[in-house]
Amino acid sequence: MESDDQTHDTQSYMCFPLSLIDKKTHLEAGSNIIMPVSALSSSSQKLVCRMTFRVAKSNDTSTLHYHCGVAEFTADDGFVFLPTWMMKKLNIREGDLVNIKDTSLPEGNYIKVQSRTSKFFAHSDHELVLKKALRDNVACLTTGDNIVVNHNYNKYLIHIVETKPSRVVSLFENDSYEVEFAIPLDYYKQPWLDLFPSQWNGAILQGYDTIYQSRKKLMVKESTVANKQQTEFKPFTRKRGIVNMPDEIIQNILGRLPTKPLLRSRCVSAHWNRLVSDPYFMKAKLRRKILLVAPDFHAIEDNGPCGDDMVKLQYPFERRTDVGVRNIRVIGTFNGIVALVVNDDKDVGSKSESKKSENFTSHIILYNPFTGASEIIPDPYSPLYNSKCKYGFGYGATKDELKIVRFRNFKDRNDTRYTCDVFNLKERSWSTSEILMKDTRFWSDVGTFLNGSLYWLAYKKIVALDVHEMVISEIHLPCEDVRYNWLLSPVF
Amino acid sequence: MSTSSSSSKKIVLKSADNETFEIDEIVALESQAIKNMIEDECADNVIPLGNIDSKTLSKIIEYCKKHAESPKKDDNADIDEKAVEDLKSFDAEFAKVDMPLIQDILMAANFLNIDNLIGLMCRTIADRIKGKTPEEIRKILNINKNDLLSPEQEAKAREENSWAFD
Repeated sequence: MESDDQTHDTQSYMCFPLSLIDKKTHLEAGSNIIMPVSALSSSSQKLVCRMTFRVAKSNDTSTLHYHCGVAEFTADDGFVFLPTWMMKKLNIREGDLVNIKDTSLPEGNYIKVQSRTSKFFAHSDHELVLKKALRDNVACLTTGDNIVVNHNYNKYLIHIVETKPSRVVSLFENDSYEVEFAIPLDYYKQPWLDLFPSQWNGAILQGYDTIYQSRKKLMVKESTVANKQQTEFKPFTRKRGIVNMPDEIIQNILGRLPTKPLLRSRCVSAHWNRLVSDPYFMKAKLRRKILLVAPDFHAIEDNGPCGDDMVKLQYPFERRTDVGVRNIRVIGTFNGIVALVVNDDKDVGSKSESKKSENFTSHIILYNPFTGASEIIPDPYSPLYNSKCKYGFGYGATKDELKIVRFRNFKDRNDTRYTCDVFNLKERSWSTSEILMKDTRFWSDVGTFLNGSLYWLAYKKIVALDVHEMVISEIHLPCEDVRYNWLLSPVF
Repeated sequence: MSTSSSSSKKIVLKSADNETFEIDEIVALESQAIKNMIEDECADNVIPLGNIDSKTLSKIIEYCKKHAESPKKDDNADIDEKAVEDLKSFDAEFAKVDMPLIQDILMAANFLNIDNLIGLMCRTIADRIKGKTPEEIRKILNINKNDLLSPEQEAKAREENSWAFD
């Protein structure tokens, strides 16, 4: 957990479009770049086997970046050549400086693509055509990309609908991923349905499935009439109404309801109940509220002044019936989900350490105040009564990569040894490691999250943690004397 | 992936019941799906929309026309308030249709990928079910009773959020 990585791996280059180089214009279609050969020597050896890089504009405060591979190492020192579309996407002009950093990406094992035209399927070996194009031009793939496949003098635009296991995957020297073809965008206007792969027998793409099903019925009818009137479309009965809409749309509607009607809507149908009870009912982004953390939780809604401005919420855990102290802390909030730490100390009077430990429990709880849904995170490393814990909640390269971080302090006089527990929400797994931080005494209990890093105020310094790389670095404070009431605040 | 647009270019859309609508390309570009097709040059002269009937399609075109004509927010930071108000009242008027048509428009807007229209229709539906009981919501949206909660599930939902049923 040293901070050496960052400075060595990030290199700055002056950037130009690939189209400037003779005979390299074919690379414009891909996502690979041309780098100088010095990139190989200046970086560590692991680079050679990964061959995937993260490109971003230098001195750019936004998190705009892109992942790419390398076509050749033939550029002059200090220069790099990017496809024009990538420069546009990253807001880079000719001659701008870019930062390029060697990264490791998960190997792709599945991609779902959508062709703009069904003509692509006229090639019986369309999967091979696609894979070859990807092998030649694309070392990493980002969900939402559009790539151009050149084949037999035709150009096909292919949209990347989904990539697994993550939003950005590496395809470098990797041919073993699975490809699923979504129904092409122009599908309904093509009369040659028999060219569709058999895997489309089921409904695949949300929104397209109903059309496809109806079209299939129509097709059966048509074929019995033996292609008599191929061009004539008859209005066919569609599946109508809200029951046939994709979940995404229903959640879009429900997300616009104020809290009370939203919760009442659970009783409309089993389907709606499932959608609303989902702890990750993310459409919460359409709304905002302020949460009052008190013995009873309340929310202030932002949808204008109305009769019940303060709404009492479902309490996310068991109420205390015994005497004792309950301490609730908000360690972060993301997409409508609040991460809470709840410490219960049943026995305040006792002096004995072991007894105190026995009566002490600490839980991390995810809570969705919009729906009242909550979940206790199973915690094998639940801290003891006397460990001083520091928490953080944030995400790494993508918003999928949500993590809860906890530093547990050993009973160590110098405050240098910490155990760092990380809970990855996507994989739902804990990992833990012991780390050494010299002369680090944390002042803030909860980290401030900004742009992929968590920040804690500590004695004489700020401790920063890159959530994706899990690398700790330190920022020295401008003055020595730190007080307990000092704060770190993100500014938006 | 270049944007080719000439102001006078026309696009013809054909509904499921074979009615054709000739519209300016700029109006058609309100639909992300059609925009993609045009940019990819895989849109022929006529774009058949086999899953949208003419009644729905004409409403959608009415919406796209209005929105294509009004100045975009990001074009000009200080567009006059009047245009914004005008568009708002148009949207409000536009949404005053019966529930089956709203649902058809929503389905079609989702298919054609017209973000603003999806938002408008979702908001309209949300507004109409806001103060209603579950029973009334089922009636309004024509949700049949095959998918009701089991008595236990319903009791659980009511108990968990008892305050919401006051």
